[in-house]
Amino acid sequence: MLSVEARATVGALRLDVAVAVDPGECLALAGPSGAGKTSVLRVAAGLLRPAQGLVEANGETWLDTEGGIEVPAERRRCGYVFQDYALFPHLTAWQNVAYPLRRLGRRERRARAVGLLERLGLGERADARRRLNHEITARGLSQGAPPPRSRARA
Amino acid sequence: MRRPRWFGVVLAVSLAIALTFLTVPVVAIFVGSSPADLISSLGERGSLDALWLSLRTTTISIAIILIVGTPAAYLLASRSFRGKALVVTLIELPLVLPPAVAGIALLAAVGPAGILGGAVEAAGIELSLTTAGVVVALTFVSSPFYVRQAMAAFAAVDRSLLDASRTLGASEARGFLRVMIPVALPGLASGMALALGRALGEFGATLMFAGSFQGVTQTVPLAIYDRFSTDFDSALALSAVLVALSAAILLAVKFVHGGAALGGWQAE
Repeated sequence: MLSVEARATVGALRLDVAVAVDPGECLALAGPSGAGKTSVLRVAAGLLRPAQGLVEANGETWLDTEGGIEVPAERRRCGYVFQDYALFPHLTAWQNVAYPLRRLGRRERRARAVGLLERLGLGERADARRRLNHEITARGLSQGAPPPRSRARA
Repeated sequence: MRRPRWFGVVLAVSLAIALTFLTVPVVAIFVGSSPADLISSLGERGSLDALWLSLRTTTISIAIILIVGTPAAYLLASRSFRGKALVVTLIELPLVLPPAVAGIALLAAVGPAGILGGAVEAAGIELSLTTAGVVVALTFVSSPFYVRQAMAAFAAVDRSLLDASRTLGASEARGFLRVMIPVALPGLASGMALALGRALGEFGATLMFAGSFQGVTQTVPLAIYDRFSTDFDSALALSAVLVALSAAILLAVKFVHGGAALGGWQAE
C-alpha cells in the first residue's frame, strides 16, 4: 500500500494531488507534459519535498509535513527508474547494478550483479561502460520502457 | 561568383601575428642559452633551493585548495540560498586582484600588524617572511581558479545521478564521493591545473607577503627576478624549467579533458 498526498508549487506548476496504490496494483499516471506526473513520483521517492504532504508506504510514514516527519530518500527503499535512466557513466554495467550493495566483498557484489544482468540477457556486457545505454536504445528495448540495466538496479 | 577571399587572408595573418608574438619569447628562452649552461646553472645551490621550495609550497597549497575547495564548490553548485551570488563574487575576487594588492591585503589581514595578526601569533604560527607565508600567498591567489572551475564541473553533472544514488540507499555524502567527484573529475582536474599553473608562477603576493629569502621564501619566479640583472644565464635556466613545467601541466589538462579543457567550440 502506497499513498501520496501532496500540495506543492514547482516552478510554474501547482501540484495538488492524492493517489493510493494497493499491493499488487499497477497505477499509471497519464497527463500532458508539465502536468506533474514526475513530481508525484519524486515526492513518493523523497526527492521532492512538497509544501504540504503525507506519504505512507506499507504502514510506514515517509513524509508528514504536519507531523514533522521526513524519511530521507536514501532510507525509503523506494525503487525509482529515471526517465533518462541516470546510469552512472563512470561505472561499468555490473558496478552500476552493484551500487546499492554494501558491506559485501567485491567478489560477492560482482557475482550478485552479474547474476541479475544475466537474468536480463546482458551478462556478457557486465564490464561495459557508457555506450551500453545507446546499445540498448538501438536494440529497441527502451522505447517507453526502462532499459534492463536500470531495471536490474531498481 | 566572387568569394570574399580577403577575409580568409585577414584570419590567417591575424593568427600568424598572434602565434609569432606568443611563441618567439618562449622559444628565445631555450635558444638564448646552451643546454650545458642551463644544466650547470641549475646545479647552483640557489636554483635548487628555489626549485625545491616552489615544488613544496605549490604541492601543499594545491592540497589545501583541493581539500577545502572541493566541498565548498559542491555546496555552491548544488544549493541555492540567499546571497549566493555575493558569496561566489567574493570567492572570485582574488582572480582579478592585482598580485601586489593581494600581498598588501594578506599583510593587512594576517601580517604582524594585521587585524588577525595577534590571533595568528597567539596560535604560535609565524606567517610573514616564512615558508608558511608563501603557502598562504599561493593559496590565496590560486584557489579561486580551482573553486570556480569545480563549481562549473559539479553544476554540469546531471542532477538525476545524485537522485539515483539516493534512491539506491546512498547518503548525500556517499553520493558526493562515489558519484559526483568521479563524474566531475575532468573538470576538477582542469581546475586544479589552472590553480597549479597560477601557484607555480606566483610572484607579487609572495614577494610582498613572504619576502624573498633563499631557501625560505624565494620561489622560482622570485629567484628569476633576483638574478636577472646579475646572472642572466641562471635566470634563463630557471625560466626554462618553469616553461617546461607549465607546458607539462597544460598538456596534462588537454589530455584529461580530450582537448576541450580550456574552452572551445568543439567541446560539446
